[in-house]
Amino acid sequence: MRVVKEHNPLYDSLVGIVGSRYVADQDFAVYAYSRESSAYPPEIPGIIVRPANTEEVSEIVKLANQTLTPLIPSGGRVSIHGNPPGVPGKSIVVDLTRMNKIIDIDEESMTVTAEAGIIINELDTELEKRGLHVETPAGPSYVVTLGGFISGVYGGGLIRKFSTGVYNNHILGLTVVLPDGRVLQTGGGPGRQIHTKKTFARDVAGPDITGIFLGDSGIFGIKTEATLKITQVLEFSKGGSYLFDSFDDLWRVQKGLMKIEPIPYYTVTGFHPRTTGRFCGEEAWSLLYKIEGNSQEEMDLKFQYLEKLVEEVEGKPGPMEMNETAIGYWGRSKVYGELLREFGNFITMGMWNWTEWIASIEDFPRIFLDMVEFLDKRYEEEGLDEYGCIRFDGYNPVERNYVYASTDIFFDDSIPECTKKVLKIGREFRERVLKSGAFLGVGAGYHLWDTTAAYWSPVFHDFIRTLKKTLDPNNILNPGFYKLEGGKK
Amino acid sequence: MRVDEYMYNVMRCTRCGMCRTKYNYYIERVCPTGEFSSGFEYNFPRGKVSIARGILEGDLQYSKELAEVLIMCVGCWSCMEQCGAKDTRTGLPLINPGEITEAMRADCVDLGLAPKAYQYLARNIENHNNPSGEDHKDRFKWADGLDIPTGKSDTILFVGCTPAYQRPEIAKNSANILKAAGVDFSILENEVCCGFPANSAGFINLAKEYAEKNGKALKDAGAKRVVFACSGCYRSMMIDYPKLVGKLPFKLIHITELINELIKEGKIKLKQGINQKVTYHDPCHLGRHLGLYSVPREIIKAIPKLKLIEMFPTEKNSWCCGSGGALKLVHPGMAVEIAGVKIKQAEKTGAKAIVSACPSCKTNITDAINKNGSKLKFYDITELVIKSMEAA
Repeated sequence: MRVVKEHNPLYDSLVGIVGSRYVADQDFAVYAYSRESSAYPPEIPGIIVRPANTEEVSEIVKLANQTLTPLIPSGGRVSIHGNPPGVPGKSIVVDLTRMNKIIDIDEESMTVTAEAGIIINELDTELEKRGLHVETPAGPSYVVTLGGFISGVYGGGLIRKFSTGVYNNHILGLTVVLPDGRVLQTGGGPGRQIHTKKTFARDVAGPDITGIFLGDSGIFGIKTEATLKITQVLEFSKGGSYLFDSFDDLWRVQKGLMKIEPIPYYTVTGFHPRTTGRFCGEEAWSLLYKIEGNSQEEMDLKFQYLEKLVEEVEGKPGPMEMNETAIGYWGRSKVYGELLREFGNFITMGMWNWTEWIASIEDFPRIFLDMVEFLDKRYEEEGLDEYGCIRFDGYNPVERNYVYASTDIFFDDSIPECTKKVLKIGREFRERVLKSGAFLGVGAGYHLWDTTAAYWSPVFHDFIRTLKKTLDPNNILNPGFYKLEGGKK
Repeated sequence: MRVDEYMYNVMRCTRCGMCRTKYNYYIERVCPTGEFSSGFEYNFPRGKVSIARGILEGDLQYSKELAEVLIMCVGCWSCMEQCGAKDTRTGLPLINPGEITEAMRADCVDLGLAPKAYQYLARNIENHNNPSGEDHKDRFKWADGLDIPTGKSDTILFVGCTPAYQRPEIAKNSANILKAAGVDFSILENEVCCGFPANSAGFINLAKEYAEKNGKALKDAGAKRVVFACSGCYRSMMIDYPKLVGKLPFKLIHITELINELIKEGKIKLKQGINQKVTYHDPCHLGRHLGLYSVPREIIKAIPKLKLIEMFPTEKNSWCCGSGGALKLVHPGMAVEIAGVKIKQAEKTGAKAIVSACPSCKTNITDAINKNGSKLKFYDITELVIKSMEAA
């Protein structure tokens, strides 16, 4: 007798909203959404839906409220710290990648409005055809969607151009489906001022409502559209590298650059000698730089600042392999993508455990060196070298206020013992980062934010919980995130 | 191969997504079936590898529904190309979702879950020695009046089912070029399907049986060199046969490779100019599967007055025509939609014709030209060579 599997109870209702082509509840279909780009265990949802527009998202949210079914918004699926579990076997995954259109490119106001499911790299590529550029995340821009970036589930906050600051200052406004299904338009545009036709500024004349939804991991609303600032592509750029005898020398150069006004670099990334060795075979503290300008003269002048500081500490130019990495790694979409493809010595290893953290200028050297020492010790204790694991330790000053650091472990996910040890060390590492006074920031995902939330101040935790409860009384959106206790389960 | 033989590879997929989205300027889209399907993860290579992991870890079981979904892969290997990760043990590509999908199809066949369309294809091979169910006795109808020997020879022209039945002009052109160049060759009287469609659909035993039949026929014919008029058959004997029956003890060469050799040796003289702008479509079986990019281009460039304009994307980043993996048989509409992308890419170049070197690509791209009302022409490369050549 042939056993006919029954559909998910919400199947027909969801088909009524988006059509049968865009609803899937077969076991293999939901399984394909159970893991993102990490070694965390799978979280299997109940059903997947692919809406075409904000109205359909709104209807889905209303349905979830009526039936008290958790919703998990999904974009490029590279959160790298685990899927939000929702309620396993029951949650609705709202796959937003069908909403991938560019709505408007306004070359007068220098803004672009696009749907949240668009891949940022594709948005940037389209803009570049017109000589324009939008900030893209430092992470895998080839798959990160605008919505995921904004929500902080991947890359939220950090943009590739470290010289211009972070936390999404270029995001002017959002269209958000609130947890009750209403559609809110944030930013300085028609959502705030009924006689305004377009969003052209951040939340002017009042509180910054947009900011509430940036890096919220999707717990306050599902972003369906965003308006972003765009810039002209700078035609002139130069990338290269230097090697240094000590961390102190490297740090002195970076601090020197940070003090100059305006900041002369696009990015100046520092690498631990072991990581440098993986790029070029020579183990030394290294600096990758990228400088951009409107003219050759402007770029050369910026470069002179760097050269002078490097000479003071007797740094030496890096080898060709490092220079190529510098040009590509922090370049715009095309070179960056091609370089990632050649990034095989890391990627081939298999899975990654990526921890990105942020510290003040004052605290950074102490924390960074302590972290490297801690990881060296734990590596040895757990015998990770025997599994062929690879470390990646780098950092980057962000404007002049703080430092973004990335400490990553590439490992063989097919060896359960290895995975277990890496995840354990990763947890210990993140706890230690937080206890040192730094933040865990970007490259977020469920398990990362979980750790972060444990170190929130009581008042901050209560504020977020209250906000969540007010906006989402049924606890529909990403329930369980941050271990907030409010709302009905 | 079955999916458990890909355990090492499947477990090393990081699900980073390079196999499913554009990540650089050299490619427009990666996965043809993913782009033209409902767009769920399982339609894309990353999702299929995830499903393979679920199967391998015992979290998922094969079903008829899953077997139907597994049809949705043209085996173009674009995903493998874009992935770029290498197996540290061998230096070869680490993850080939196309092969992993084929392995899952083979598991489905073992479990009696093969989709009806694949069963039909396999039955045709069993009953008629070709996947489309044509009468076997008509296999060499294309050769009527051409006086092509069928006896023993050092060089065998392996024609293949698609040129024999659907694209006889490619079979004829291939034979005529060899004749005109003075190549001593014959065709196999007992040539049968190379087994590629069976292997791709998961009927491994059937593919093996046909590999053995062809291997024996070639051996009996005294072959030292086998020339292929079909890129699929060539790919099959180069890539699949070593796994199915061991490496064949003959030199295997595609017709374009031989033509190029003959041009260089002066045995083919291309004197007649063809005053036209053309663009070249890289068949996946020749390009990504076997790395044959420059040879067909060299031939095109050797034809007087013929101007080659490259499409974007091209070579390893080329967009598949959509006919592979039996998609043309099962979902012909989708196959033509996929080829529609190729038409747009070709039209953008300003070329007046698409040239390629694969009978299946010719059929599907021609269908798309007609469906889209395009003014483009399509030429198999042998057709242009015939037009231009004058035997030494």
